[in-house]
Amino acid sequence: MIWTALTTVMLVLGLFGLALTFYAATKALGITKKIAKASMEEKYSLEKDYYLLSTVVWVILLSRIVASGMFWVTNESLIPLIPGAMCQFGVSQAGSPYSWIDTGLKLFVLFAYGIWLSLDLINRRVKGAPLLSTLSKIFLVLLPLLLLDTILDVAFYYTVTPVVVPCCRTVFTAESPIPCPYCFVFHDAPMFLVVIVSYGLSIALVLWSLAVRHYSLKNKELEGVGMDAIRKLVLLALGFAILGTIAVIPAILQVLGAPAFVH
Amino acid sequence: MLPRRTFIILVLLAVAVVASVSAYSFLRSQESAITIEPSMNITHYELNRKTSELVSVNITNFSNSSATLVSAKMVKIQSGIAVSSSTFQSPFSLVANSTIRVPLNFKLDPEGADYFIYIYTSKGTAIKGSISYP
Repeated sequence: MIWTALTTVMLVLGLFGLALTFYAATKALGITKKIAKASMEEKYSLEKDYYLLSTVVWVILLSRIVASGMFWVTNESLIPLIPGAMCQFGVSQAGSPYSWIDTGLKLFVLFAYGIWLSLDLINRRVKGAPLLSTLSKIFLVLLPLLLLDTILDVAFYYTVTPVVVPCCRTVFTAESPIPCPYCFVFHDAPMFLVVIVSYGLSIALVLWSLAVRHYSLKNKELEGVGMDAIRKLVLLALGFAILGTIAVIPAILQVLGAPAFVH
Repeated sequence: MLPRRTFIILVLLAVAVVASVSAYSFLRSQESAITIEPSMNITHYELNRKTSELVSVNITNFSNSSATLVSAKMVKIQSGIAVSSSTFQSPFSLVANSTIRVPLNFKLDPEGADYFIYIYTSKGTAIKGSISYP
């Protein structure tokens, strides 16, 4: 392992997430099993259990979302510590195979985690927690993804060592039709980071609004709160899409020409 | 109201993707359309490894005609983007069968990368060279 402040934080976040996930999984399993046959009194007790579960899941998912963002920053910080690495491609080579799967996973975990968070947000605003059983089940569905996400983080940062690696110049040559995405986005056209993040958030918000819409239509109690949430989510999505579109202009200018200076 | 906003988002996304891909394709096609001088070469690269800088290049003219060098550009091969460029305030005159030193002071990526160097002549042609750093 390469011990730096960032890799340590990533390792701690992974282990912390793993421990809390196991705790939350047992709670969610208990609620899912008991809720169908529960009496009124038991339902009230399960509701209290659910609020504890909900709080724990919020902590887990928010810590995973923070870890998803920190993943790129940590990998960028490892470049000078790995001989031969010129960009994050080299860092991923050093942490292969965990790093590659982890990178792929990190691109869409936010979409999945956000669905649970947005549904729980509207569930909390309605009396009687009508989505209690659904949210427990969705958490169990998310469990493999959550475990894979945390385990891959721990495995990657624990096994990555300063070995000599071949970097992107072995794959992305002058003849390649596409550029190295890491060199392109993180080093030479960083305005595209703003574009990608803005559009990513915009798409995520639309997906979350679709999930809220799906459950609001199924559950009459959620209709009012659900429609209000959908309006806010879509409006925010539109805002991010506009931001992304505005950012495309300086990003394209960055690609089209390096600032020429007179010698 | 909801589908209309979602539709606008998708349209904006499509516009951004098309614009970005078009800009990159245009850049690559411009680069491949440059006429390269066959009898002029970059024969030496002066590097400052402490500051990770391409200080200057030596250009040798093997032909019997002279040329005027007006500007320079450095393209990072891995990203396909021009990372540095410069226009010479007083153009360099490269006489037949001679070598001149052209100062550039282009910053290189300290972690390493491959670059194409283009030195443009007043005729619109270019002298091309490549360098791998470190």
